[in-house]
Amino acid sequence: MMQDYLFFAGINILLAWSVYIILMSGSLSFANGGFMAVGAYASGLMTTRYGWDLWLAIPASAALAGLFGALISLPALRTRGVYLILVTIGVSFCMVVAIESTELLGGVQGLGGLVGTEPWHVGALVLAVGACLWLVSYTPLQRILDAVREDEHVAGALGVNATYVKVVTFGVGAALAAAAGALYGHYLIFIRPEHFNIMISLFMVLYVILGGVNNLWGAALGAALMTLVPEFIRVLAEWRPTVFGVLIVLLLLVRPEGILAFRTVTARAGKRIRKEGAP
Amino acid sequence: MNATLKIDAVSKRFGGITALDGVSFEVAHGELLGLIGPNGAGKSVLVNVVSGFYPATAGAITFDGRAMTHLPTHQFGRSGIARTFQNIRLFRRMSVLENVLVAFPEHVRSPFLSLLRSRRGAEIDRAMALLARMRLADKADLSAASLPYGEARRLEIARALATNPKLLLLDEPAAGMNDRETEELREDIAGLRADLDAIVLIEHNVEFLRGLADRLVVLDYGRKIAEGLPDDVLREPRVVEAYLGADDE
Amino acid sequence: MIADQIVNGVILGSMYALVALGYTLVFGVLDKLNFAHSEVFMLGGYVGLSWFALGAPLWASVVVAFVICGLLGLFVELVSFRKFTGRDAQITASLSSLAVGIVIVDLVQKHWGSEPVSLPLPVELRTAGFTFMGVTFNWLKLGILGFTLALMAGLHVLVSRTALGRNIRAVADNPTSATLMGVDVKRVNQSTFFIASALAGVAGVLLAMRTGFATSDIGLSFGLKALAIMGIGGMGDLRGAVVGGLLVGLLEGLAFQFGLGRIADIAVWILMIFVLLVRPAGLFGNATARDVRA
Repeated sequence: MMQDYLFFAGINILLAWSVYIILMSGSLSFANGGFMAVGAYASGLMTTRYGWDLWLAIPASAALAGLFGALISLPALRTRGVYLILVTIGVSFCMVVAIESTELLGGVQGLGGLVGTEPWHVGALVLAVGACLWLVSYTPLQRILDAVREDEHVAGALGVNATYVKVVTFGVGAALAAAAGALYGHYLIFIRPEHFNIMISLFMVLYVILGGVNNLWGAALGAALMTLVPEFIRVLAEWRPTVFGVLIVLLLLVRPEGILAFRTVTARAGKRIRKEGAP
Repeated sequence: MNATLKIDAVSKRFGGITALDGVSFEVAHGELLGLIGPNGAGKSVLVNVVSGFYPATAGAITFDGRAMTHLPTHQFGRSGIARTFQNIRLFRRMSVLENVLVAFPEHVRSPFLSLLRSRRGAEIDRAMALLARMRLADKADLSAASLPYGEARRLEIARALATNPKLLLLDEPAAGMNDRETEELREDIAGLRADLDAIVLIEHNVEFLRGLADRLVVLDYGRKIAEGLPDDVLREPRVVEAYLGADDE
Repeated sequence: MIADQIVNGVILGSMYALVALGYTLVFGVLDKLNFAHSEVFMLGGYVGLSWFALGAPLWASVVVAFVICGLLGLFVELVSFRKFTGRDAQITASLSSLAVGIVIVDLVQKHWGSEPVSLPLPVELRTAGFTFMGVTFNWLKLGILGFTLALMAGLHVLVSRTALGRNIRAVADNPTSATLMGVDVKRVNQSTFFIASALAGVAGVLLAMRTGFATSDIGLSFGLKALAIMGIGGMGDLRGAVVGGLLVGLLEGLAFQFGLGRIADIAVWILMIFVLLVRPAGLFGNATARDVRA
């Protein structure tokens, strides 16, 4: 159904952005499936068990996941980037097992009765988050994030507290993944631990890499393409992983920075130069 | 002596290798100090320790009366110590202008609040003034990666100045420049003295420092072997032997 | 019973170590994670099993898996690592290899189906054994353990005593100066990939012999654990991979013994996170991150 496709495309765009936000400060997270689970299960528990309103449950669960994400990244960021990748993979695995062995969350059977998400809710969140990221891309914050990502030691010498910047972006990314997870859960009605396994985390990262790591459009494009195209081309759906994989390998060989590789320039001096008549 | 930077018996070891061995000296207000020594003498390691890149293994660093030794890197930058790099480390994905804008202290200190108080026009003016000072105004919109060697070094200085520093550490700023560029750079650096409390200039090339530096400190094998007025220091037999002799091959 | 689990743990651990050695070898030389590694290991099981089912002797199946997986390793190096050099490309290369891994899994599932395929080992081979001091030893398991240890010893000799090993260590130490010394870095990278992948392929067959089947999700479950073991032992450290592998094997064996089956599955990740908190460079790594990078 068209509506479902668009809904899942929207969720995947949000998830791709949650990875992109963390990547903005140079960290790669394979734990966003886990943060998504925090959002879905926390909001599910709040609404079904404690009768909270969904619109209160979503921000609350996002905040919870944001805090959790920041906590995870705090010690891991002391070490090199590769170790953080390992830690996030570990978190993804542990999260699924933790849910499976928690009775309150329904264990392996899953948690049911989650309702209330309409497709347009996701559309609205996509627009809102997209607008925020777009605005940020012209501000000093974008420059600082780019600096940390490109060379955190030099950024540190300029006075940037790179650890703080990375922890905050990690938390924000985790919160967005959780918000997407909450919307997703309340659309599916029934959620199970395997909805949030390592493969989900992995695919989110691949959307971003495929679309482009330097701007918000790339991540959105990658997610939309990889969700929607296979739905309309039957052969693609059947061979999705292979086609996806081969496409990524080839694309990275041709365009190592993804389909949309440009970076937004945060400030231009062009007009001034012309006005002053410099050569 | 009224010092801005005090380096007290600083040592730095990597595994079993001692790169700095109990080095002490002070940098006075208003001074331009030249730090010289043969390759591998520990000059760059010292810059890295003084700018907070490496934690010192032993000893103490005091800047403007503040104990810096165990602070994280960004506290060095915020206290007013700025630096350039021997192997140029610009943000290559950014434009020349952005490389300066990124260093403005108000954004560096609270990056997430910078969303709320961006004064774009005024900032660009400030950055353009710094670029003009380093003779880069007409390159503002180019990619930093596209700059030739000499201009890239000058952009690093402009970026360091944007942090509004008191102390500027220049790590071999003339390396790889031709004679004309080197001479222009000397004038640029001399022109910076009025705005900075102190400059520490690391050089391999002694001639560059003659007539520019107020005092020299000479390192060899991680130790300080001489300190004083340039003409005196360069006549000291130990310096001639360790440094000048070695340099002639 | 506990003794049985300790024996099982050691055997399991030796196979973890064999896979982890491949991760750490590639990481040591190229400074990049090869995510396709766990799927090459998975494929090894299928390749060996198919040859055995066709009537090839066991040793020939192992040799075929060694060669085919080694060649696949060369392919991975070509498409996912050759072009992406330097520290900037660390993530790009890793993700490209991850995509290769996804393709391998999909193709294996298309060819062999997504259900486990059993390895038709004769019953007498699977059960033959003896009892010593109350502990049951199985010849097959002991054979697997012995073979694994022999491979590790072989790798140790290769890296520490041969010309190739010297070049590998030189590139691992510093690719730029290795080039200046006349080392052909491309050849070293290829050799590293071949060795790492071939060992993973053999580990895949051995695991299939041990469990009696090959399955396509083993890469994600077993293979990625080896990645965690590399983190525990210290990235790029061969001793670390072996010690880490045995440690985790034992830990899982014991957790299983005490009925903590699910926890056993994630014990390795919890251990890794804990180790990285206490010793950010792993058990055998000695440099602190701030010292290494300027």
